[in-house]
Amino acid sequence: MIHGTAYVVAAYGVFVTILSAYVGILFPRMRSKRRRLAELEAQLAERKG
Amino acid sequence: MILPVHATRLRILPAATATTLALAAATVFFYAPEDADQGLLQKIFYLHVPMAIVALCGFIAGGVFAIKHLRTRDRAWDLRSYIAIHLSLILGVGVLVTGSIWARAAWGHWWVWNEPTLVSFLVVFLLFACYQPLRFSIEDPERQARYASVFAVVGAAFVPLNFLAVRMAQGFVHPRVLTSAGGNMTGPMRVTFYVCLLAMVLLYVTMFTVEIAAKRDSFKLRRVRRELDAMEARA
Repeated sequence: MIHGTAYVVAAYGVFVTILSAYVGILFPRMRSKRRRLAELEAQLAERKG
Repeated sequence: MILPVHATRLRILPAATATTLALAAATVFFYAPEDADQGLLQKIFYLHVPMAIVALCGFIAGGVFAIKHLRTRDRAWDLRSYIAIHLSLILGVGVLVTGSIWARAAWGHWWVWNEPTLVSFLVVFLLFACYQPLRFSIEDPERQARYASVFAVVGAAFVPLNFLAVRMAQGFVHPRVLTSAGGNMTGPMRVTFYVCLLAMVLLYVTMFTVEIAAKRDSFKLRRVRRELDAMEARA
C-alpha cells in the first residue's frame, strides 16, 4: 500500500511541479511586461499631450 | 495583429479552473472507489489519461489553427497554433512522466518499447518537439509562420492516424480507459474521470487564454517602443 501511495504522490507531484513552474515563469514575466507597458504608455501620452 | 482577449474571461476562467481542479482532486481521493485490481495506483489514471487526451486534442487544434492561418494569412492564427502546440508539449511531458511512474509500479519497468500506445505517444510528442526548433530556425517572420503552419498541419494529421493504428494493433498491455463498449470504469469512477477531464480542458483553455493575453501585451509593448523611438528620432 505504501509502495502504491509513493507512486501516486510522485505522479501528482510531477503535475503540480509542472503547473507551478509554468505559472511561476509566466505570471511574473506578464506582470513586469504590463508594468513596463504602463510606464511607456504614460511616457508616450506625456510626449503627445 | 489583433488578439482579442476579454478581461472578464481572464478573471472568470482561472477561478473556474481552480475550482474544478480542487473538485477533481476531491473526487479522485475522497469519492472514487479504489480499483479492485490496481488499488491506489489506478488513481494515476485520473491525471494521466485526461492530460493525454487534452494534449493530443491540443496538437489537433494547433493543426486546425494552422489551416486557418494558411487560408487567411492572418498571423493571429499562426500564433494561436504555436501556443496550442507549445501547451500540448508541456502536457505531453506530464503524460510521459506520469505514465512512466505508473508503468514502473504496475509493470516493473519505466518504459516498454513493444507497447504501441506508449511508443506512438512518444513519436507524436517527438514530432511536435521538432516544431519549435524548425520555427525558430527561420528568421523571416512570414516564412517562419508559413513553414510552421505546414508542419503543424502534417503533425496534426498524424495524431488521429496514429490513434487508429494503435487501436487496430493487437496484443495490448496498456489498459483501455475509454472504449466503444463503455470502458473499464464503474459509475463513480466514470464521474471522477469526467470531472478530471473537464478540469484538464479548463486548465488548457485558461493557459491558452493567458498566453494569448501575454503575447498581446508583448506586441503592444513593441508597438509603443517603436512609437517612442520614432518620436525621439524626429526630435
